Amino acid sequence: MTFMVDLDADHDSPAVRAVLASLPRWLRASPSSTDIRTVAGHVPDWPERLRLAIASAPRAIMLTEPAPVAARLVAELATLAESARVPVVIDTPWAVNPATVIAADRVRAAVTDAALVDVFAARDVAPATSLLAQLGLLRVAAGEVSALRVSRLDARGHAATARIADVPVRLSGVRTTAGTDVRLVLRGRAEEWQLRFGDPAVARPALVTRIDESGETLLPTRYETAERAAWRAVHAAALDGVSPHYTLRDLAADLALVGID
Amino acid sequence: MIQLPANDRFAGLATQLLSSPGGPPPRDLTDPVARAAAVQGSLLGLAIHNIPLVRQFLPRIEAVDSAEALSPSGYCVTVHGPDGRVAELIGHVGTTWRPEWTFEVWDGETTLDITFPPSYVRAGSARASIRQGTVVRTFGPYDHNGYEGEWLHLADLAVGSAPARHPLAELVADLAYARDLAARAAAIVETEGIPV
Repeated sequence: MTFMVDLDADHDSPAVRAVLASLPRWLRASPSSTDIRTVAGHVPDWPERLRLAIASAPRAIMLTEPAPVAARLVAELATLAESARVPVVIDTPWAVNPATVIAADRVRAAVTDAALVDVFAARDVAPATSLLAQLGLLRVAAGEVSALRVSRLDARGHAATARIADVPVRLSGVRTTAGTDVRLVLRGRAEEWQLRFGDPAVARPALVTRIDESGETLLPTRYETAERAAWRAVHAAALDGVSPHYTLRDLAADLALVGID
Repeated sequence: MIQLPANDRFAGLATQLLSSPGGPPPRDLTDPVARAAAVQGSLLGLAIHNIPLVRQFLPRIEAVDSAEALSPSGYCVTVHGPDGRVAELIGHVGTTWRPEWTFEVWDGETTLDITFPPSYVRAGSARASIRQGTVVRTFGPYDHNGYEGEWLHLADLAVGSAPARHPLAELVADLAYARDLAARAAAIVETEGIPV
């Protein structure tokens, strides 16, 4: 079934249209459509735009990588979306990357014996936004994060520690134009997992590697951007009400961890 | 970042040991004092190899922001300098096969990435890359590693064909920096959470 997509003015770019064009049987850009709406998460008033989008009762909404706002506000929006039965898919660069989703069960199982879960992000994006996206990645790939303590968050980067159960977690990042380099590494006594992500704008696959004493295994690669995977999730939500891997409730919980109320 | 198996694997490829000293007895990491000693010991025993490099880029430590003892052996320490620059040191010893010994520096436009071979083995030098966007400049790997470089330099000194590469005061300052970092990290570990 094909749904029509009304692109937010901040989304209507050749790049987004190219992604839609790669799902021609499912999605098609069409102004003023009531099927699917989009909200650009990088604009400061995205919560208000999302509120308006929910009120227009589309079959689904795509919210692209949201900048941090008050957790309470997002929790209210989650309640609003649930009561209006409007699914909201969040296009966040690593949590919804197909490689993450495919590996998540095995990585989460390995966390119990881990010595450290380490996430690092180098990219040209506001550090607070990167920190929030890292929390999303951890939530999907590794488990429930607690005890987040941010020791540094400024224009240049961030550094923080946390826990998943009793396992130490380290989160760090730098804002740079040197190149995109993002990774999650789980270091255990006898097992290690590496998830390495490149530029989310291109469909170069994330590399997921499991290492133990007998060698290492590279999981099958998938040449698809997180954005395209998120659009597939939008279609599944619009068609069958399938819940996305990372929800508005999850986003509200991650914002609360950062302490933005 | 340093991720290594036990020393035996690489020492056995570089020589024939008369006997293996064996590792230290396992520490009770639920004991704050043992935990602090573990972090201090691993910083001065393993991170010490990287700390002079860290000092090149972070000449003064204003504070240690976080420190953890890792199980069964290792550390994860974050420090910052007076201008806000941050350094993170991670070392972990386990049984996974792949050795990893890296040193990375990032700023707003450039990254330096150095990958070292494991200790002991004569596998040539590290390889260093400086990257700005899509432009990458790579140095090495060269034929000999740091250990061989030290011996070759010692030979040059012995015959008087080269001046000392590192003045004694610089080496002493490196050691003082390492001891200070280790002591501050140990103090944090002694008073904070229990590692797994």
